[in-house]
Amino acid sequence: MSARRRVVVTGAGVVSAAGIGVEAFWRACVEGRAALRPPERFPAARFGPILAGEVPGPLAAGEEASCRFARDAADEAVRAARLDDGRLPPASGVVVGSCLGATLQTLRDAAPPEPIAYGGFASPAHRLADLHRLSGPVMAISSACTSGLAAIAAAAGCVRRGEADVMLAGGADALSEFVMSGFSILHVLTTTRVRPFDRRRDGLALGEGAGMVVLEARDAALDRGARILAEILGDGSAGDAHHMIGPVTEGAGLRRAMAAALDDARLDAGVVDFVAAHGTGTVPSDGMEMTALRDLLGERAAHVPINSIKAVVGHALGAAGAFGVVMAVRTMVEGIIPPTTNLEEPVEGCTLDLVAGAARRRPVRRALTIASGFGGHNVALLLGAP
Amino acid sequence: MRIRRFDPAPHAHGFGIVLPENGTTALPVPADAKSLVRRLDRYGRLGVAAAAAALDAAAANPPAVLDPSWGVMVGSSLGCLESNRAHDRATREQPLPEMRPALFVRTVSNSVTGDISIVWRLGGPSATFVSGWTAGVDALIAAAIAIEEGRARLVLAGAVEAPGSPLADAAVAAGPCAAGRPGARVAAGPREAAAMALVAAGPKPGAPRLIAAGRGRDPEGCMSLRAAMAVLAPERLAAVVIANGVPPPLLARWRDEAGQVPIVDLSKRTGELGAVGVFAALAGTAAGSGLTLVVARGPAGETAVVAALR
Repeated sequence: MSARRRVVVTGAGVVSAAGIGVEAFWRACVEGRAALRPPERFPAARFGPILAGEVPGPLAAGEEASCRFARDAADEAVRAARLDDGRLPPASGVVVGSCLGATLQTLRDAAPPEPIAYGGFASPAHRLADLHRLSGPVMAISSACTSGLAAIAAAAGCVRRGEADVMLAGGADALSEFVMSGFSILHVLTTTRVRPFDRRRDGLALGEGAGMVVLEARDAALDRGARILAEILGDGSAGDAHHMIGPVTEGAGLRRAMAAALDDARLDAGVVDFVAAHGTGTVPSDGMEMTALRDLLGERAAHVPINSIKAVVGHALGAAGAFGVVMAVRTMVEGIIPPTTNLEEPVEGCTLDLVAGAARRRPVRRALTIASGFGGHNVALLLGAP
Repeated sequence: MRIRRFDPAPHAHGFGIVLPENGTTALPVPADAKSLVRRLDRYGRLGVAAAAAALDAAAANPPAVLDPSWGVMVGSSLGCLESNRAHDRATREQPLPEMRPALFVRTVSNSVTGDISIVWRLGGPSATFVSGWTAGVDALIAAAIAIEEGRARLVLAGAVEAPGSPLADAAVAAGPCAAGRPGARVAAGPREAAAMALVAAGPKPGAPRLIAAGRGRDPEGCMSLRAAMAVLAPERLAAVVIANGVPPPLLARWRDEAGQVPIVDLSKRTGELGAVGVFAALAGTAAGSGLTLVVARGPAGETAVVAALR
């Protein structure tokens, strides 16, 4: 096997319901301040009294939301990495994960801006490639709610193997009647509050936005004096091979994905000192996740802090995993673990250390970020402090 | 574009190619999965049919119980767009109680990847790429890397294009082919098709070995071929196979770049297959001999190359 380059995160950008930019996102996470409200961009009365994590502010006429979110988040990430103004090296690429991308625009517009051959799924990735004149790998991943995390894992692989020197990576998705109706007929939308891991949890709230990071080889980042925010230590994916939307109750698929990420990093579960969970707030998904984490962490389960930020920014589908990565990176930088908003009564008998109430000040050296989605797909990414 | 050699180089043990004329009705799927397969949309059925054909061609025994050493990687340019259109229409025209949850579940492009993993109990690594016409190469590269890094022992890697005729027609009607210019339209949209290969670490008689691959944005059009030729030693190349149609001026430039190496434009024979094209081209190399370079290229200039040796 070829030599592996160490891969680091040198920039991040977020567009979320909490506002534009990582700072707005991070403040909302740390304060546990829910940015959910009734959706305004489309008629939502027929879905009942639902909440959603809609990105504030209007869209320009004709502007496709997921592409704009990806563009703004990528711009912030590239600026933060000090690779703006044409300083991205020639061998740079992009991977964007998205459930839908610009497919609704493809389906509804008489003249969509991209070739119809893309179906719109790849639009955010190709538009970023155009904007930043990237000549490295340009990839789009659509693996439901794991898309953003899978995209960051794939991009890290490109840098690790020397396919590219710098990769932009993350996830982007936009709210619409399309997704709202789908989750509504699946009866998984809460009409009360999003309460991840709580005994009274009764569903999720959808969100939107984009999370993007800049990944590059550690040696190159050090050579150019870049600030290293975190290192990507390993990644893993696994299929439940069970059901299209119903998770395996014992969480075996997620457990395998997490183990694969640790194997990839040549580390064991004993090094994990924080988990950025998927934590959607639905009964089966949270239950599966808690079981998988208990199995993975074993005796340490009661001592490894776990959180979910879905009650703050909603479940942003393809962007969700990328939000988790940005939050985990910032957690390691600041030594502050954001709380799980609305978690008041953990599930009876739960032995996990679920961070509730207020943010917790604690150094984090290794953070595991996880996501699960339709298709029985599970992804895990292990991050390390620089 | 950087060309990377696989180490060790995996083998493609069997190819399953499904075209509309072949049909997907007689699928050798496990008995307990037949009712599931009957409920799939066209996208899922094509993928499952190609996977079944690939397993059959490879004479492989799929797992009897869930096996985490088997992975699935799928690429598609149009993904599940037809299901998305149907759900979109239902969203606008039907009251919520009349809408079908089962249709919404099919509006994620990794539904086909999930289908294959469920039918054959493949619990290893999986990914679904929708990058454009190079998405099939993304799937193939992901499979090769999964084997190289020891994440999987066997991977079903392939591509599915199930656009349905209205969208394919729209793509054809969109204008003349001008690949290489971002935003350009394509002359012929992907036909409905699917292909899968069973990628494995070990050799098998007649199975091509995947030597190297590369991918990138190549608006000018020659960077990828030049990079591959530099790494692969042109004197060893038996042919360059074009998996997707390219405009005549670019084809002429490629002929210049290739020099004495013959260029075969596969799309002349098979039509446009979108992300599936690379698998059709690689399956063809199994019948030939020597080192073959397959080039996949899409309308935004996305280009990928795969070198295979028989």
